Amino acid sequence: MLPVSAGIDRLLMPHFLNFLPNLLEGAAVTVAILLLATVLAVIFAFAAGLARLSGRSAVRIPAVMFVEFFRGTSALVQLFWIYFVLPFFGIHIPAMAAAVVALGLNTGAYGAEIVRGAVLAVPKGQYEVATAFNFSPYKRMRYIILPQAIPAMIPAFGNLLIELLKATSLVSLITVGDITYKSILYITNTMKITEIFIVILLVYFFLAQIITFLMKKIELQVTHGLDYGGIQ
Amino acid sequence: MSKPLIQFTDVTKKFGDHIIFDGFNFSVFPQEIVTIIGPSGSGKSTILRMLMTLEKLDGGFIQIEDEYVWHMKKNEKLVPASEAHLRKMRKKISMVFQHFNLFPHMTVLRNVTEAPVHVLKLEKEEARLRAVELLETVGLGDKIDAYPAQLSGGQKQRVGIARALAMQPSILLLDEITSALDPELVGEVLDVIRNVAKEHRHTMLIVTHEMYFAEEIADRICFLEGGAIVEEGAPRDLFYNPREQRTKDFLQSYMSGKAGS
Amino acid sequence: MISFTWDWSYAIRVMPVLIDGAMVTLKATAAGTVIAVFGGLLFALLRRSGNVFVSKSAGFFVEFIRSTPLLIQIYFVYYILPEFGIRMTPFLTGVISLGLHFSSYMSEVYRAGIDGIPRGQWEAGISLGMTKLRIFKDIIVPQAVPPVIPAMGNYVISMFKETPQLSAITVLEMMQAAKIIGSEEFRYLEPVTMVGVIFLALSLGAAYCIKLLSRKLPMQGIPMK
Repeated sequence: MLPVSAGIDRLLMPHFLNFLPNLLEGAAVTVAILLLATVLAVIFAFAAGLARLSGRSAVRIPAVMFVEFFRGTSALVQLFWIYFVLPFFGIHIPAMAAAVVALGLNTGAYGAEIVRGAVLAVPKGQYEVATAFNFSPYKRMRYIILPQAIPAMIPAFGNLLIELLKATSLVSLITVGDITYKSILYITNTMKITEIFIVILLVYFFLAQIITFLMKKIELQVTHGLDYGGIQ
Repeated sequence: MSKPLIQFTDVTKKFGDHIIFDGFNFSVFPQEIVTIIGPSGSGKSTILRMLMTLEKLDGGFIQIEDEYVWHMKKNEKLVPASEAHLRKMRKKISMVFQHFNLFPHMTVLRNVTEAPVHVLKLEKEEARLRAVELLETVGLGDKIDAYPAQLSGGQKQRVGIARALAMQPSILLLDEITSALDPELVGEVLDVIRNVAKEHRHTMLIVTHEMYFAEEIADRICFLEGGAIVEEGAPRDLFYNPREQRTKDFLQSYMSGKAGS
Repeated sequence: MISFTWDWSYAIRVMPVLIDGAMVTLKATAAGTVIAVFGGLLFALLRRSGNVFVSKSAGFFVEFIRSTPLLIQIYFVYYILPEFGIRMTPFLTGVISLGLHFSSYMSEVYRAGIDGIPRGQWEAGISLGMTKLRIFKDIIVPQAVPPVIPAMGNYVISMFKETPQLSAITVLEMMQAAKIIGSEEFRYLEPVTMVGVIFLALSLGAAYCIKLLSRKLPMQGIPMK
């Protein structure tokens, strides 16, 4: 038994070390896309989510169309469309930017539903209090409604961000050098299949744990002092 | 004095760290109607549920006639019962539940015929005849094609009673069967039980808060507190001449509570 | 400069190829659904097993599949199976990965459905002497299905939308067909857009059908007379 395992060590280690620089480059790209797309997603989630609640059709209908469009087609279709079709309209953007925009909008559309749901869950009584105290709609949303809606959004956003993490692997299909791209390249060159797959699956799993951890921290921060037992 | 039909010997039961029963002994004689009363958490329902094999024993034995409920004899030794043995023991017992537990996706008729067909292996037609007769006895002959959602609480419980009786058990367990009902619906259910008790064919174990009803139909009342029978006796004796102080206290607090309502 | 007006004649010309691709997409979705529905049930039952090793292993496996990208799983199955001497068409490989990935989501749906049935239903069945199998089959499952249908349906729609990932292992589904056709005349606008529209139309249509279906099934359970 022992000589065999020693042999595997000798096979595993050098290849892992060979792969390490590629892995780190890929991880940097993955994390960069993740962060940028998250920023975009949060902006669109709040913009579209709140717009969907507006009384004015001119505001609401485009938001509905945005959400239905990006939820009705997959991230990969959107990626391809932005990468392959936009150049025809004279818009040439690098693959990396296409990736961030597509994933950001896609995630933002799902996020809009989370925002909408959480805002709708705030008790009607809060709106009445706002009226009694003469808050403008903007002030009402900013100081009364949103602060109460946000804690409820955190768990769902956490899950959404993990979906975003998994979706970043798709950018490898439009030649963006993320973890998936680098690892498949390495595998086709060296055929060290099992080891590399185990490594990258662990990397994605590890990144997912980090996201979960950060979301928990944010949740604690946001619910500090609130009577919050978990909304279900 | 005949031999007990049901015998609890040295029964122990825990829920986590909380000990409900420790060395609990209890007997019920054939065709006896026993009512168990007592404060919440005393373990009244647990006695029924352990007998019905819904709760495991942590120690001790339960016997029906001479057979063990939770154990089997294997080569002169007692081992924990297999699922097949438990099913065999369940044939003698039927239970009516506080929250009815009717099957919501089946008609009233099917609720009552389901077990006779699949467990007793009756012919569909025979099961149907038996069910219709029972449902008419409980006053629901016109509701056999209705679904539980369309019935009132009292009607649901009467279906529950018919469903239990359809299995022709020798032992009938009634676990607070009127506690979940609106007050005005309690009477119709008690009427049905009154008729069942009159025939005195079944051995009945009843857990209830309905004291007047208990007095009326029970052969014996047991006052359970802290996992032990504090006092038991004929209704007249226990209710009007309780010997133990704890029994007196319980009856008093119960009566004053009732007087307020 | 390439004009950015829509070329209808080109669009109509490439339609047949896209339709062929759509057939592959739909077949993959159907096959993947079958695997996911049964695989999910298997995982759900394994997780309920009394054997701790079995239930924990199944639980870990499900969590792992849910937490890692589908694309990686597709590549993994595609590369790993030949190592074990198993040679399959890319389509079959893709369908297996798809089905396995979504069976992990389905198992959660089943679990929630079964756990949602009140304990009293089990107890009534036990008190009437029914076997566990019969209770499960006639009492629990019919009540678990109606709330579960919308969730399952949504996962099928998700699976449908994820099929373009199979193009990574050379499966000729709709999106791949569009890319190939587009590269021939170096004109992607029409094919890729049309594929996008087909995806949108079919998933919105399917979502509507699911709404109708869930309205037809009574909430209490599949009626049994």
